[in-house]
Amino acid sequence: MLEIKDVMYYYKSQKDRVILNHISYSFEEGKMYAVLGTSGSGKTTLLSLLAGLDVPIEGEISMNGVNIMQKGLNGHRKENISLVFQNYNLIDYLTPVENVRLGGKEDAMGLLRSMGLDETQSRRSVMQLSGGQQQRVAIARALASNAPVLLADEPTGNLDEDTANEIITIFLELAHEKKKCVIIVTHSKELAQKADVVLTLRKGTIAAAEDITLL
Amino acid sequence: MNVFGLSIRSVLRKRAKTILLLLIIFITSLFIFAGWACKSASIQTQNESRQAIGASFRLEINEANRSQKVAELSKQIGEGTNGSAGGYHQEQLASGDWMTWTDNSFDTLLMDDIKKIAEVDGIEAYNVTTANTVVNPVNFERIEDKDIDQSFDQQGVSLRGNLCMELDFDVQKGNIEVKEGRMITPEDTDVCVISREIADLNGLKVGDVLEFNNWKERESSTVYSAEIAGIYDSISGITPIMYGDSYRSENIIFTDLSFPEKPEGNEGSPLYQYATFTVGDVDEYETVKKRIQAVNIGWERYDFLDNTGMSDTMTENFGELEKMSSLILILVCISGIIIICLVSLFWLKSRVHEIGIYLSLGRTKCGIIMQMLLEGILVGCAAFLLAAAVSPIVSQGVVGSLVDDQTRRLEEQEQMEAGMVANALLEDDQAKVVGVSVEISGNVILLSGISVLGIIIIAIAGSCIFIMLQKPKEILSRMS
Repeated sequence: MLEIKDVMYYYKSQKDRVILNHISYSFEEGKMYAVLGTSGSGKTTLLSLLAGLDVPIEGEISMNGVNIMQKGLNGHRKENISLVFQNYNLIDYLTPVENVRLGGKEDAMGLLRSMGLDETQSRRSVMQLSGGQQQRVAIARALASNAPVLLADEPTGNLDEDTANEIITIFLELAHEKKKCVIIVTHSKELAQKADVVLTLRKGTIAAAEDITLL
Repeated sequence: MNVFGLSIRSVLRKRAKTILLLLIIFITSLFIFAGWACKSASIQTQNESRQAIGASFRLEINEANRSQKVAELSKQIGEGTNGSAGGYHQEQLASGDWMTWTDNSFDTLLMDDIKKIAEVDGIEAYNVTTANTVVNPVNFERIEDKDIDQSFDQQGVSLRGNLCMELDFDVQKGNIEVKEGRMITPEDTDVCVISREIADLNGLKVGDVLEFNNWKERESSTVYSAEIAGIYDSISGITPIMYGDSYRSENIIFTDLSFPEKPEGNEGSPLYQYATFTVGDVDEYETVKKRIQAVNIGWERYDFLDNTGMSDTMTENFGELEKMSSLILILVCISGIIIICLVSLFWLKSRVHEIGIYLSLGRTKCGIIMQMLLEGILVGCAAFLLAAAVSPIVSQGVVGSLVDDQTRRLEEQEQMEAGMVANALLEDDQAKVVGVSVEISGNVILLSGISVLGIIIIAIAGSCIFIMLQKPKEILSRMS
């Protein structure tokens, strides 16, 4: 579905420090991937490249066999990718419903209800919601676009354990029931244990790829 | 949700930002209004010596416009070049000095314009008066002060032509009275009315014929004759326009309109200095005034005075005011762009988070900049409407203070030049500024609107350059 081929990346200001060193991998639909690694291992860079927020120095990223550069990065982000961030990243002057509508044309209220937010919560300022509720709104927004790939950067980093578990459950449901490709960058080994595939990055290379569905 | 919906929500829900931007654009708009209004302002001047009598209007040449035309024609001919253009002439003398002069065609009121005004509904009668024309008296003696050295005088008499002498300024004011014979009418040709003093000195009577020719070529120029139609007595005297016996009141001879140009040597090229228009119904005075002002003639060429001596002259009379208003506009536009650009830049820094989210959602950079521009334009529209509501007061104040400043500087200059002979001659003819009329016309609103819109677009687009220059990943990394 989403494939990286021989991707190499470094910052142009630091050419001697390679962030991703000729890595290749193919992500499939219906699975939840956890990308683990220490700080500076290239996790967030990988996520940025997959999201079309940046372009690799060498190599190619393709979606369903088509290089994402051909479609254009804006188009790739708009149609193929949904992003969920650690700090929720909601637009503060919009209500939850309006934030979800930014994602796409799906039924915003229905999505918010499915995430556990009622009508009143959905129409108040996002700043009045708890962290868990804000992350649910962010996920609802990601789902509104109906994109096949959901990328999440430390989505449970700011949440308590119970809320984090609820969010992980939602991601798993999205992967297994809605057949989306969910890729989560995380430090959390607890979260990684629940993923279908765990990729471990080390010094810019994929040190291990453990697919528990094959075990 | 479309760009407009997002912009509206951002403007309405981020009130602190909106109010600050509103205030900045409001103040900028006010000054832009003032600048444009200043360019089209009318300055009302009053000249006590020109106050007309009764329900009449008076048309004169606008001196500032005249000076401007001289400058333009001089530039057209070229510096250091002999030549003529549009009645303006410049010539280098054998001594190397330059002589410049204008002929009658340059300085005269245009008869076509006078007739257009005379045809206005409500005008009962009109008169045209020529400039005082000095000519040589061929067959009679003029009045002279024997104690004064006449070698610097033209040694002539002054001819003043009138279409209808009854409406002459000095007759209307009661300065002179024709007690013998009659006044000159529009049907007359080659007739004159002389003073009692000249008649007594020369033993002249009504029906006698006077002869005149060019005072510069006394021996060779053509002699023209005019029959005496009447003799006037001085009641309170005619104020001479210059020193010298050629201009003294007793030596002023009234003629028909087309006579003065003949002995002067300019037959066919008259020099009409004033035109007066009498209103039939006094109650209609203001209505007729408006009708006249609506007549399609080149008004910039003229001063138009009403019966109070009030004259609406364009700001060209205050050349500095024109420059000042242009300067205000330039400064306000530049400072407006800089201030709005800096404020917008400051806000965009605080909106990196929002911009990053939009980019992650697949919105294009152009779409995001369009939203920022639309927000600025929406706030700008509100600020502009508020400014338009209060601009008449503010513009009046700004223009008034500029005119006051200009008037004060002119007064200071006059004080510095006090006592100079050339000034003494003009002192009685000085116009006083009695008011400034600022009208926020549709044109002013349009020009101000375009200016404000331009400032907003340039300032916000300028501040958005950093969005265009940065990669989405860099923006997202800054937000985290």
